[in-house]
Amino acid sequence: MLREAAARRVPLAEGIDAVAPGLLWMRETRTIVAADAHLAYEDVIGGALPTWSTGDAISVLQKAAQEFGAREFLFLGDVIHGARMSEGAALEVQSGLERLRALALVTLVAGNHEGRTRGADVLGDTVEFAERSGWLLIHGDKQSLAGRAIIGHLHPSVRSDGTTAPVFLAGERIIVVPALTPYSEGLDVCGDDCFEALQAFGVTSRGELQVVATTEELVYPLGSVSGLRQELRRPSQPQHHYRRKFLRPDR
Amino acid sequence: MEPLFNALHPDVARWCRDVLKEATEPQRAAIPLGLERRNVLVSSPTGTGKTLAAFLPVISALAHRRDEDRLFPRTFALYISPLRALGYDVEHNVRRPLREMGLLERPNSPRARLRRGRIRETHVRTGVRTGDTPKDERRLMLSRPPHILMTTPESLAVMLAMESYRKTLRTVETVIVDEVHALATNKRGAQLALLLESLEELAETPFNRIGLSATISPLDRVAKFLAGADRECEIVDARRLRSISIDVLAPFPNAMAPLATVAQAAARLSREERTTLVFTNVRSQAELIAHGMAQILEPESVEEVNGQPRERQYDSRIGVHHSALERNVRHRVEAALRAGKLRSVVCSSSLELGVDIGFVDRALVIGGARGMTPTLQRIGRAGHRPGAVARGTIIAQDRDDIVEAAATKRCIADSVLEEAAIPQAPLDVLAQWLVGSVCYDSRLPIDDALRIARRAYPFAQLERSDLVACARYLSGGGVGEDEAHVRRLGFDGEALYGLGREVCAAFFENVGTIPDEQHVPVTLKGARHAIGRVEESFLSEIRQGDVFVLNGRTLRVKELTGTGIIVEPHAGRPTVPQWSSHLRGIPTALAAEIHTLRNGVAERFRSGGGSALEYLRTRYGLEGLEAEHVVRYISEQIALSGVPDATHPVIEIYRIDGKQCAVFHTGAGRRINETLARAIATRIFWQIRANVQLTTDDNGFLLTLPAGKSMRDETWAKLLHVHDFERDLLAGLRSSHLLRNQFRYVANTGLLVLRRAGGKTLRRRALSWNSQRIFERIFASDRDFPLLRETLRTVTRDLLDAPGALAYLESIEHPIRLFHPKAASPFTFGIITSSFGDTVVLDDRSSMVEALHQRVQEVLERRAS
Repeated sequence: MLREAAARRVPLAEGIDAVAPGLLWMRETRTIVAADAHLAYEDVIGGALPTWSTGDAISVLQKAAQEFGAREFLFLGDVIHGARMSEGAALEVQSGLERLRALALVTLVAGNHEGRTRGADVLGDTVEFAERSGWLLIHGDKQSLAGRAIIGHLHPSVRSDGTTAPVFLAGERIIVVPALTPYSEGLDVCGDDCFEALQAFGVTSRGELQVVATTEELVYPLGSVSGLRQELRRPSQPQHHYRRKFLRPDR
Repeated sequence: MEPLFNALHPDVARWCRDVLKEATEPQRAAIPLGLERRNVLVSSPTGTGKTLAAFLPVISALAHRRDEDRLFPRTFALYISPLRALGYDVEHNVRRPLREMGLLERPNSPRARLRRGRIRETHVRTGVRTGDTPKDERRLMLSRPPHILMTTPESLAVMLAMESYRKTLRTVETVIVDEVHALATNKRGAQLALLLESLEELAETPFNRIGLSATISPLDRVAKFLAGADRECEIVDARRLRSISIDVLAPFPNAMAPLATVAQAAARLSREERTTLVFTNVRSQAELIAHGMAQILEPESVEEVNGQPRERQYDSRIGVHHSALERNVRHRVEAALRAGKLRSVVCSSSLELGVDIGFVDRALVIGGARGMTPTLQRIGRAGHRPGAVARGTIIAQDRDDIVEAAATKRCIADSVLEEAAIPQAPLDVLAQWLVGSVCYDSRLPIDDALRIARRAYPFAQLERSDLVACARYLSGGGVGEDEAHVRRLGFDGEALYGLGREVCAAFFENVGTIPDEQHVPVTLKGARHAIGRVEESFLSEIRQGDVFVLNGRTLRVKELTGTGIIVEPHAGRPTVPQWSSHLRGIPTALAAEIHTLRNGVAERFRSGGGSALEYLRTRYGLEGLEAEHVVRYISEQIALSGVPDATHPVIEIYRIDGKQCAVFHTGAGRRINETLARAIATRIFWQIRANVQLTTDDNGFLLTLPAGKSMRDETWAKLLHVHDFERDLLAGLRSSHLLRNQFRYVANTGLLVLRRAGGKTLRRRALSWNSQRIFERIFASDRDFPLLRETLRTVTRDLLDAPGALAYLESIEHPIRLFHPKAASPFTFGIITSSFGDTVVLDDRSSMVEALHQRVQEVLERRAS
């Protein structure tokens, strides 16, 4: 399925790279974009679990910042999974963000999971959108036909042979960043739901969207959505009916 | 006159004399014990009056209380059943005698209104408290507690965690547990056992427990489950109240009967009787057999149409009854059967228990019931009259069925029944119980928790370290080194304590152990809508590339998403038994008896066929055509391959569709075979670095290598060894849906991941995906996490049988016999047939088996010439 060799980062648009494990690197402003981190997920759903999602996401960002020399972290909405969380989890989120602030500027775009308060109690100030290098950065839960947009929200992924991998989608006027949280199977980019959601952003054909899958370490360019759809639909070998084949001794 | 009734309160005794007239066997034994307030387990078939046997002493005690003016507004008797509906039914059935005894309080009588709020009462109140009970009724129940309260284990857990209910439950004197057989063997039962110990702590005086059960074994172990690990419990064993006669009929000349022949045989037998019940193992078969039977016309059959006599075209006196039918259709069939309007009813297990169906002359069991207890239950439905002999015929569909039926007969004659396995110390249930125990904001010292829990039989062997590990996790200990912020209780090292309202709310929302058996969609690749749904448990049994049949279509699994199955149409044969888990494995004792039969015949056959027939006649009561079938079946097996026994398995190597495959004949039963197959599939993976397809049944398992791969005989023969068995099994399970799905249930029960939070139910899709992620994370960071260990215990002990498989591997003797039969050996037919399951039309299966058999005969003839 892999068309080209995997790489640590793959360009999606001019000055914008897809980076494993699902971050966007904007060279001009030296911004690392992370979508749908859903921090404190385990806590918000009421699980008596360590909030692994918070620690993991923060350390991924710290590592990336050191690697690229980032000046800014930009969270593209759904920073936290919900505004209702335990005090301990909220402190963990806050201290995690503090650790990032020690490295670079942190910008928090609010998403639908931040709720009506836009996550104020836990996150402090958030913004509804940001603009970098001529791209509008919004969460993506609301329709927008403005210029060029970078969105999250959809948790795009590709499924094959029982495994799921988060993917970037990139077109002329839109880039969709995969979710950083591991707790979401995501929306299959080959399915109709994903395409319908993207039509609200001016996407008219599947052929115009390039897919780049990501794992923990590497990113893999997979070609266009339409090509991928065809490839994954390929029928398997025809089989004979059992009646013809009886058990025979093995020689 | 029945002297037994004299011991009851005069009002109760009068009613018994007028209405019951005579006591049944279980009543005679159980009522005196109930009156002495002793623990008692009553095991008897349906319709033997065991519910009244339990309630009469309770009603008598309440009547005495009334006389003594001690009928306080408190609950004195608890009735617990696994089914909500049963609670309502039993309440209805208890209110009638209470009313006729003049003891029942009518809800809104002037007397009831007058006495409302007063301390002493004169009439008995009953009530049902389940998840369905409306809020206002629950409130009323608190101000005027029912004297007899019907509930479920889950509602009991909720009541015991609420201070308001605890007050009313302090006075409980008797607890009746109905359908003990349906509780003892699962986690709900383990939960109930703990709850009854909590109630014991709460009660002002020790209460007695009365358990009601259908046929179950061993009774002493189930009695301990009911009464607690160290308490005495009397056993009323009325399981064999009626004598049973079982015939075996094999309506085929060669190897297997096609559907029409089976239906013909059933029709012929039913013609000899007034009414018959025909049991099939699966629903689809019930429809097909009924259809077949109805087609067979009776020569003298005449019906009246518009006042004119006319020859009957179709026998309309044959009904169908199974759980997939609408309830009103089922009720109509039951009523018609009771009224004698139907000649035969073809059913799946739906008429095995409970339902009142009147008199049936004979039970026909198609294919066998796969166990002693189900056989007893099915055939026990015939001759539903005290003293009458229950007559039944097992109609074998193939030669395996004859052997199984004969072995079942022998086991029943020897009173060997399947043993109920009671789960040992399930930690998820323990965790939930701990949270419930401190919900009402009390302190529970850890030593007390251990003492109380160990009194419950399933937890008698509970380790202190396990209890502490659960307490640690619940109090925010998290997983491995990582702590959690969400806490279910407080734990200071010595005692547990409650954390207030919010935690209680989470407990109340998620109480219970019943895994929500969901149905998952089956979608054709590329299609938007599902073409059907299968039970989620099926998802855990299949792998990518497996072929199964749904709604008459053969489908190949393209992708398993964890929340559904993506399939593509396929022309090949199915590789997995079936999607509905109706076909149960046979019990170990029966598997052992089948070994005895096969080897007994094999030994005698080698020394001349005559003595083999004599052996079948004397030991198994098998004669004529059926006995000849068995001898021929085993002689063919000897000619082509070998006969396995308890310590000598047989491996047969074949090639199917160019793929090498091996059939391991162990005869160890389905659970052990499934366990062995998974571990051995892992061993093969390490040998050839490719996944193996596996099919299991009661006699053995079939492993198929991918095309282009093969192994040498020595390698195959060396796979059955004890070394690192658990490691290999775990590695095999690690990638299976079985373990992950089970983790989800355990995580829900153990309150690690909530099913419902803040009044919302987490979407199944999200839940299963998250549980999978969480499972992987926990598996990677802490193998000792209590709920992870519990998941492994459930899978390897309750679902599979790792100790049994290990014991089997230890017992077998090497070198292992390995054959390359020239044609599929007769013992292999069963595995092939079971790999088709019920979803392939019976005729297809029989024609395949017949073809296989023909090939066997060709090989043998060629050899003879």
